[in-house]
Amino acid sequence: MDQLPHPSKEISIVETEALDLNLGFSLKLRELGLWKTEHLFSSLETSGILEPILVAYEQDSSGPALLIDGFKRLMWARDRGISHLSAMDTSLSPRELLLFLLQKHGNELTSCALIALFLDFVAERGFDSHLILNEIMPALGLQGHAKLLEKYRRVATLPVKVLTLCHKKDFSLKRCINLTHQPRQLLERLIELEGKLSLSASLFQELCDAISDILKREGLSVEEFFQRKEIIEILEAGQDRATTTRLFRSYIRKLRNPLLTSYQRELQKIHKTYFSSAPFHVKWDETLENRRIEISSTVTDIEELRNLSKAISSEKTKKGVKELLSRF
Amino acid sequence: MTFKTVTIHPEIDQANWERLLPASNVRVGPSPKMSDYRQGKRHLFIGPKRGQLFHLCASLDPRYICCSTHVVSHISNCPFECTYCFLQNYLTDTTLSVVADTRAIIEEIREKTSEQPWRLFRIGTWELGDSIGVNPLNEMAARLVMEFASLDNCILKLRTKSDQVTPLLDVDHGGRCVVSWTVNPQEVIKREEIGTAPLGKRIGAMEQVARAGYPIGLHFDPMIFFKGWQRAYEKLVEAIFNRINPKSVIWISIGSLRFNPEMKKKIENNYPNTKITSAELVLGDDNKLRYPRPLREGMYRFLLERLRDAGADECFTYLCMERPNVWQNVFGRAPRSIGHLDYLIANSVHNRFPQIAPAPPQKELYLSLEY
Repeated sequence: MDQLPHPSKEISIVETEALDLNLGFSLKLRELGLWKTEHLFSSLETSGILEPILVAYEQDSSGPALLIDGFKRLMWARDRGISHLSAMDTSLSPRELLLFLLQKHGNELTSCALIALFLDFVAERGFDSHLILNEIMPALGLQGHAKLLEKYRRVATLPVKVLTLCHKKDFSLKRCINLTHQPRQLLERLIELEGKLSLSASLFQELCDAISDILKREGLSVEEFFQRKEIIEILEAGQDRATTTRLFRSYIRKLRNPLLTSYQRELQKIHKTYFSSAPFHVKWDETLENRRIEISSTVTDIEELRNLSKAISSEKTKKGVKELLSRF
Repeated sequence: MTFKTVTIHPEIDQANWERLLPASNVRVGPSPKMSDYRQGKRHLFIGPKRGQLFHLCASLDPRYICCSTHVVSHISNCPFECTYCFLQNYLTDTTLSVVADTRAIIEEIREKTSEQPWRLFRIGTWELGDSIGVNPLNEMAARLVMEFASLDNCILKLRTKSDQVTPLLDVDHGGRCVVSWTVNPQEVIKREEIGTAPLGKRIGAMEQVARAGYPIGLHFDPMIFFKGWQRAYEKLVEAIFNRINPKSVIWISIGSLRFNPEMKKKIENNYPNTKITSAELVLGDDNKLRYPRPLREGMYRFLLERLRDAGADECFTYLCMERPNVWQNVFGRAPRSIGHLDYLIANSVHNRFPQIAPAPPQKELYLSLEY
């Protein structure tokens, strides 16, 4: 990236309420709860604003000053009813402005979600797409392809809370894109459950996919779905997060795969009848596709081997295996 | 359907095609190499033969019982839009392309099939598109039909969801061509097989080709599960066999919805209203999602019973891409191997359509086939 020209121009006094905040990517980060102000604010409380904020004017100087740098200072000042601030004027070209934004926020863009937000932010503000594709994306370690930019911009349309989760859990671009295909209302409803469920990236994705399929299959709305008695019971039982997550996930799986669930239940019943005290493990193909039973065990001496052999060749085992295989 | 553009490769004799193509918008040149799946369907390219086109059906998987049909992949892309179609995730050049050189295709087939003169080769042209779905594909198919009449141990399998059979009706097919239809209840056609001929028209076309002496193939594949599927498939079987004599049906295949997991999002993006991806599905060893086995078996058994009710039990009926245990649970028996199924089909053709296969097939040779 080129070295930016130092914005050393004249100092003026600007009205805090009259500033144009259009370039405030920091404000976007604030929406996501990613604005760390404690350190700065405590220093401002002690020493006040020492550095002038950075602003630029349109060529004819008739419009409000465009705030370029100093959003946190401005917010601090506004909160305290300070109506005017010293500002340093600058005149950056659009390219220089864009590079300035990148320089300022580049290090903060630590996840796909934040990169998406940033790229959408600059594209939304009308910066030349060639600049974004050829300078910004490569600087962020991305290939400057229009389709890739489109994908990131699609991710930026996710609800803010979902974007926050995507950032916190460091969702990949693919995972974020998948979420963009889900009903928005479902995403918002699920994210509200974050306090009750331990939502890992993969679980969030799994729940979204499964519920979205159930909604489509059964022709239900998101609200109708979450009004189900069983769901309310699980979510309102007051259990710890881990238990609620396990119960919720298992219920959703049952709804998503009713036939497999009922077959598994039947197979488990047969297992319980014939093999609950057997000295070996019995497994079957949970997809129900392959007709085969796997029997395994570990022995540490010959006596155990004798017992195992006897148990395997017993009538009870044969009957149990026959019963299991008859389900395939 | 009309094409937005028609491109003929410079090596192709344009005069051969003039009669078949609209006078306007035809140009000479290379393939326009479309990349969008839908757009490609509206642009036709007629090109020369490049490389080998004859091979075993790509779906063949030795872990499943497959019918071991062969294919000639001279058509690429399809004028129709079936929501479940794998082509939406497969083609790089999406231009609807067809190889014009029928003679060269036949020569390749002749050369390869002559290595096993004892074998009855069933050769489809539907691997990457509909065999006759649109003019001039049907005209091209008619040329293949004529050429196939000279191949002793081969049957040409045309497969379609259209009613575009007119060019086939006056062709001297020598009994070596089966015209097949993929069939589904009208509600499935309307929802999932966009742009294809309605069921009634497909059956009308079946009647026409049957009158012209062609054996008919029926493919109840993919069966789709939905609320009310039983009544819908029952009506489908009735609708077909009320008008088609089972004696003219050479074989019937049955299969159910299946697609690769990566297709799921693609389908949902391309066809947001389809519900096929929201069904209960399991992943098989061949990396395809299918309905759970008990559901599939129930669907197959139900259809089989309706076919029996309709008097179609004399038609050779087989499952497409299923395991031996599924065969066993549906039919009460299963072929021992892919080669065995190949033999059973050949034997049925010999018994029911001796004009196609006058000599009885040699079982041990089919059983020795390796896949």
